[in-house]
Amino acid sequence: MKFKPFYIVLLISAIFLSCEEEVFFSFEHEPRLCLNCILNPDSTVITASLSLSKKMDTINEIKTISDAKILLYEDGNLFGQFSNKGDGKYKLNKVPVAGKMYRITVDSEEYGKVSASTVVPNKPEITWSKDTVGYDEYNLLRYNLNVQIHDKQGKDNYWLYSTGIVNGVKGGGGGGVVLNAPFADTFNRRYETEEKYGFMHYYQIRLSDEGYDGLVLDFIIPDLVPTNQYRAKHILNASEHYDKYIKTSILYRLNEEADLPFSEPVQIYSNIENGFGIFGACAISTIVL
Amino acid sequence: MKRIIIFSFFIFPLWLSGQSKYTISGYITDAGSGERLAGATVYNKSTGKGTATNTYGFFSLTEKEGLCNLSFRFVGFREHTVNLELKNDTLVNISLQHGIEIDEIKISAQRQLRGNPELSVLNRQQVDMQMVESAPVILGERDILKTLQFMPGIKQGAENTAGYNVRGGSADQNLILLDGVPVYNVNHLMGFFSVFNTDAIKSAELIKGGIPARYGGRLSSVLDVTMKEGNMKESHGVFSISPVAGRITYESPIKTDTSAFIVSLRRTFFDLPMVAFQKLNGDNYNFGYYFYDLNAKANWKLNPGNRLYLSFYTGTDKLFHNTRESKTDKSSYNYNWGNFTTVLRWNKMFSPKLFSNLALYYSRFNHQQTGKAESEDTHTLFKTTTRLDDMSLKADFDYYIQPQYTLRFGTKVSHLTFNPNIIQLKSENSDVSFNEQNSSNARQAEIYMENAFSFGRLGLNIGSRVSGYFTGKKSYIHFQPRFAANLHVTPSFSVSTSYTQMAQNMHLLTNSSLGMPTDLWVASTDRIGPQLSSQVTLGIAYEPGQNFIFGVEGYYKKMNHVIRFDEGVAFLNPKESGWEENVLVGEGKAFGVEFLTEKQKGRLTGIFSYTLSRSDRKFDALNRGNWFPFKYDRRYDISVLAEYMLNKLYNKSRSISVGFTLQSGNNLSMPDTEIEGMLLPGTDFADHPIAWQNRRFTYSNPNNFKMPAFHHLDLGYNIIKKKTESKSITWSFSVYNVYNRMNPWYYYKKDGKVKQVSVFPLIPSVGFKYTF
Repeated sequence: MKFKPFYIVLLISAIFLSCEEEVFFSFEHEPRLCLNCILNPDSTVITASLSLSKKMDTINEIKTISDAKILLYEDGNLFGQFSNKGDGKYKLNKVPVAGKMYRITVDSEEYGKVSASTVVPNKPEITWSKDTVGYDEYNLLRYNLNVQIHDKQGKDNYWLYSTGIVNGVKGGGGGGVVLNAPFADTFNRRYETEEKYGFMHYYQIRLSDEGYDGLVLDFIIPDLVPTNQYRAKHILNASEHYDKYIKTSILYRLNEEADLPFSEPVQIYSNIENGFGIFGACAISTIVL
Repeated sequence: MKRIIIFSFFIFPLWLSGQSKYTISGYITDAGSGERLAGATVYNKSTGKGTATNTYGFFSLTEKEGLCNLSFRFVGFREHTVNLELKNDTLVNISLQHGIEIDEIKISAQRQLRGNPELSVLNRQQVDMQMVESAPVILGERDILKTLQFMPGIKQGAENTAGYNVRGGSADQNLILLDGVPVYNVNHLMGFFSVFNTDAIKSAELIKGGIPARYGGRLSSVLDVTMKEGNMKESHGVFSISPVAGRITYESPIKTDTSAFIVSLRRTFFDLPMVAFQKLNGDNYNFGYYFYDLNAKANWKLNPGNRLYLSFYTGTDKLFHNTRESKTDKSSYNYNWGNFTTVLRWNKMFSPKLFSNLALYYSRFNHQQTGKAESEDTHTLFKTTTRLDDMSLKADFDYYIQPQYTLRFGTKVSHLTFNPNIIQLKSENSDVSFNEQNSSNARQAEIYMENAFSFGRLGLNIGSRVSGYFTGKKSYIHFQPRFAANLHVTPSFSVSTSYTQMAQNMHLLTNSSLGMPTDLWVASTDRIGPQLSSQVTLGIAYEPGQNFIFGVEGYYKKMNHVIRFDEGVAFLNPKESGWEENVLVGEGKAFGVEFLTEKQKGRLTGIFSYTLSRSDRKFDALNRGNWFPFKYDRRYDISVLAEYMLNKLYNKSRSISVGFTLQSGNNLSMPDTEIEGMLLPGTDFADHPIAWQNRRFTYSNPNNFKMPAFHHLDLGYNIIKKKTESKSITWSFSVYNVYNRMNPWYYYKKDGKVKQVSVFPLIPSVGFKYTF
């Protein structure tokens, strides 16, 4: 048949041709209030920030809300009303108490009402000591920091991070800490063959008392170098909601940075009813090195 | 109350069997090949009673002593009539000749005699193999699963993939059987082709509502695929080739009218020219990809009451890359996945009324990645293995107590072994394994009883299945009632309803972004229990004459203990933690209405289907425990599959076929909202806080974004030239995606930009088949 050669040519050229293109979507978005507020019993001031959500990929800045009425309740009783400091910032000169339940309500004439609740966790009870390891290849004396968290009964979620001042510049965060313990959450652990334990945790280290409730969480932060400048390790006990917020923030960031698009999508956690943001609490114990 | 019902089930058969009658029983076969015909009807014109053959071609009809004027019929075959004087139990084996029925006789009675008369036309769908052979398909590869996706309520996952979702369920909730053996992964090449070689397949039937008690283990549907048995009369074969693969099938009697075998092989040939070219070019590497399927079956008629079958299937996908820098310096990478199934079946006729099928089967799905590197000093190995083994023994009995009442009962015991994602790293200095704690064994035991009644215009199936699943630490026992009823209000108009409860003891963990062979089958454990569902349906059907079927059916389905990966989990990351820590357990619900129009005879045949549906999921740990749309929640689905016979002469026939699909898009989680963020602990102390922490990007609920509507039109043209009675040549030309619609296959975000990936443009193809 005359058209046979034509079909053979077509066959040869009939291969999978995947096409990739950038696309733009117009999402419908109704702005909603975004409240961020973390209670800390070590602080004499409670700070809240209030803003509006906006459609992604628009150039305008996030709009702050400065005319809302924000109330805080402690175990059902009015604890105080936040004062407006402008630019979406609100302050309340009160000290929250560990173990108590707090509820925050926001009333904006233009954008409606949002609210949330949280319980302030207990300050982590910790003990610690140092063990000298020896000199490394750079002739630096190294030591291990042995830390014990004496966990109390009930669900606790600890986050380990550092702060320090190096040559006058302040730095802080959860990165750079190497730790190998069975209660360390592996959600942000990635295998890195050059690291001491063959892996590292990205952005923060989370320690969970699941399976260790009421026990001592004993771990080592290895190979620290003595310094004359300020340096500290902090163990933060996060409330249930704040814990989820931190975790989903890190997961989202890891997804963004991943080479392959195979990770499950992440929704940033929020316990704000009818809105976005986080109302949580934490209590921090510090080891100044 | 439960005890009274159970007691009645046991007493009722005894009461019915107390009457004195004789039984006509036997097998109905294809005269040309000796293949048994399932669903052939046996009708006694003298009494107006009848029955249909079971899956193995067996029938049993009990009648009073006297004259019987029996009619034996099956679609595509000439009617065969037998007159006999019934004085005792009689064995009648019938061979039907191919041909077209020339008269319509008691159409409604015939309709009510078909297999599973209690199920509506929308709950039970027989896959038309002729339609499979003529439907336009991508790259000329005929595919049962893709043809099924034109039916109402059955929706594809990603474009052109074999995986399908039924009535809001996920792909793992479909039980896919090949000769009664579960096949755990039906995907070649990421699901673009299924594992079923249509040259070796005799029939396929899908049930998605009112699932009878003899089936169990999955929530949403049962696809029962039966292989050809082998021609007992004479040798035949088929050779076919498409742009993707070549196929050869050969069947022959071992001993005429006593035993036969069939063997069928399909293999792609992408890799052959590539490897040859690389060798001729003197390259120090070779790489390629291929897949193959091998089906084989043999059967023996030991005597009129006993028959043995031995079936075997194996199929593999293989991606390979080998490099040889020198004699000692080489590396290789292999990525394989595939199935192996085998079953030994024994059909035994205990009596004219009692038929049994005993089967011993083994099914395995294996997926493996192996990376090796060798040099003079080093040998390293990286290997991941996922494997599921299923060894089962089952017994099924059909007891034809009365023409109006058939009792089916049976049992099955299984031993299952799960080895999901075991990782091994080996070098000269170390040999480490991960995830071995994920391995598990389980045992399963099931019994069922089905009472199938046919009271004139009313067909009823009342039964139950009890499954026991034992993990070692915990046992799960589930009682699953099943009910289906179909009432012919008039000979053409019927109303049907059904209620089913199903239990599924294993889960498929699949990344919500792509359908990959790395999807993991895992067992229910003491922490993660079996999935459960309940479904209710209500429908009507109108079947005027033999030509048209119109059906409408509504359904509501509730699912519990459905699982999915937790947020942020990537299955490609080797994890020390077990899979149970990385999944969430929740609920699902789905409801919808399905419309079907089917034309079965004439020059133009085909189906038109429309589905309007909704499917949601809920997980306590996601979306604050609120319901959100399921990924494959497609609000509407319109599908048309038709064939028009241009001409049909003895030695030549030509037809054109059309396939059209219009569906609302899948759902994805796409961040669409920007909000102010809180700095992570410690970063608020820093002089230079990290910029990204001041903002968060999120979405109001999972699967917030609906992909654009998916649609494409496919055309096919088929020419069949008959050389002799047994030899023919078929040319099939098809164009997939005629108007080149670049349907989005996947979206992802990179560097703040959203990218759309489309895979299937306009693709013409031609296929050739030679039957001898």
